[in-house]
Amino acid sequence: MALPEILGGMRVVVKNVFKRKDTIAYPEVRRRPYPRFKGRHILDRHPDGLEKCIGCELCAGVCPADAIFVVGAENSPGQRFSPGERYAQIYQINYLRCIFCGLCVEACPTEALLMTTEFELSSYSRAESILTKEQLIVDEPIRRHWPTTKELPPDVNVLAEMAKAGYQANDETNVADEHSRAAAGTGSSQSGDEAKR
Amino acid sequence: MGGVSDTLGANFMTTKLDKLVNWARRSSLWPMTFGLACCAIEMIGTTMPRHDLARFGMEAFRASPRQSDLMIVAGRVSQKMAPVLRQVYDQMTEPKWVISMGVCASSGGMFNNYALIQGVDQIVPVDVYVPGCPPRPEMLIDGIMLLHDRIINGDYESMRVAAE
Repeated sequence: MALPEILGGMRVVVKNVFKRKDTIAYPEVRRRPYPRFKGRHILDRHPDGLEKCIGCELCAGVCPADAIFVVGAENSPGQRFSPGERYAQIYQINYLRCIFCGLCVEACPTEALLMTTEFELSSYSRAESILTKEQLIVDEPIRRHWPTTKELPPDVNVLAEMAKAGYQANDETNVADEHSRAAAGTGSSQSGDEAKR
Repeated sequence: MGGVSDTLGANFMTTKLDKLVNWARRSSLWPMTFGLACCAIEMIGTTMPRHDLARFGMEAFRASPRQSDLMIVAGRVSQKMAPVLRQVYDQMTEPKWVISMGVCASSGGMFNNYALIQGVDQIVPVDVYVPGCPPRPEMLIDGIMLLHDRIINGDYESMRVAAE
């Protein structure tokens, strides 16, 4: 009696069994974020090795969450850290306050403060979450918690999948095209074109 | 060491059994639904097929504290919510762990005002802090895996003592 319904239901199950899995097995397979993803900060250096940060505290001032703590100090002729008059003696970012809005990066007059796409910042204590200048400066390699065997491009065929599923191209596709153009700079696939086809 | 050797004394049998117990605890954490704000959406998203929290044996978010051993505090904790949160934590059965998800739960985040608890660790002992506003699902999984490390190393009792 209910056989047609059961078969109809099983048809959906069997069809989905052979579809490609949607899961990204995170610790082993990483999906690289878009290049403009706002993650952990770094403090940049000039090519000659001097720090770009001049200790002006504009980032600390603009931070809506008061996550940044800067104490500036004067450069002396004997000890020069930055090209300007001042440098950041103490520079700390509290990642338990930071909301990754990027206002600090916009405020930085010397482009010393930049954001990477790293996001593995979990920790066991509050103290570990406060990154100091030594950890933020570019000499220190960014530490990842988990090694990954495979890094997928940020736009992992999401758009192609959408097009395959018959997704109608409209305003959203334009936004997506913009994303894929931004991602094209890092050598990822042209899935935006695939979506158009 | 944690596990059963705390009550039965440390010897060959109990320390070997501890490893098994800790492995079992790690491999099937049952989180409790404690979504308080926007972080809860990411917490829900973590269980969805794209990130699939079931890979870690913890897809079943329990609505009852009696059945859960991990509380993921997702979102800002208001002064009014604090006693509720503490009571729910007390109702959870030992062993229990707490992940503070997002900056609001971890330290108050950008809401430095009178209405919010400045960090959930003021009312319950927190094991792992996950920053982000809100953290993307990978960040939460990263925090969960740090907690797994902690459980498998079995410093449960020492964590508890340090937290109290």
